[in-house]
Amino acid sequence: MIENQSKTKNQTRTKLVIDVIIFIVFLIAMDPHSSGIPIHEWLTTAALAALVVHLLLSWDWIVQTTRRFVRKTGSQARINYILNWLLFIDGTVIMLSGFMISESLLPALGMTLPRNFAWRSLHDLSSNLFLLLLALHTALHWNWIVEAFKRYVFQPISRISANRSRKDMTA
Amino acid sequence: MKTLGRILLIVAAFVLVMGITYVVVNSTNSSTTSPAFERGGEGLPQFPNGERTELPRGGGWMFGLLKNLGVMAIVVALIAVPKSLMRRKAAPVRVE
Repeated sequence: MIENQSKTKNQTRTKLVIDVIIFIVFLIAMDPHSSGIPIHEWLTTAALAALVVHLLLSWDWIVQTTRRFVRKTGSQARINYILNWLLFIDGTVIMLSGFMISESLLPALGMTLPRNFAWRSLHDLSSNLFLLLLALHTALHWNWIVEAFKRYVFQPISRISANRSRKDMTA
Repeated sequence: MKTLGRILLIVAAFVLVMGITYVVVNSTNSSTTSPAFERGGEGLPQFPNGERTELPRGGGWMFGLLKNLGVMAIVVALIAVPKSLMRRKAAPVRVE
């Protein structure tokens, strides 16, 4: 029981760290003119690993909701599930269209693809859609985000500052 | 082993969606004709030295970052605030 609780606690902490990393990478990736194309391409490709870890940490939820989806499940869980699939599909489209118009990553690996305007417009369109979907995803998980930040960021900070002030008082 | 199997499943889903997208984009692209592009941009304004140079954009990186954060903040506020208000209303009132 206690082992399970600490496992869940560790998972939540890892998930929070991974999600913050993904969010920061997303913000950098959304503005390639500022970061530069090489950073844009290499960073987002590296973020794929973070996305896979995010999916692995949510695996139990994915399996349970998939099983319950057809039968009985809450409307919020259903909306969440559909939204997550849309995010996955849109994210994959962004990755593929990004590879197809790559100016840094694929040439560095010795591959060059013919330029195609359709892939560029698809990349722009899908990334704008991703911003909206990610905002909806964040909104639906807002309570979890607030609770996780309280427990793993704000509470430890306040505990540290309280300990420090107590030490100052005794000194 | 279990984790490896899950990773393979995720990668398989990635590949499947990528394959479908590739087929769809290529089929729609080949069915639509764009004569100007096929002729190598004949009749289109040409860039100096044949290369396109990015123009400096006003606002810099801060504008892009704030714009994206702003869009997300608006969507989150539109959904999360009414949701929490509804939850508070639905919760039973505590009598001390």
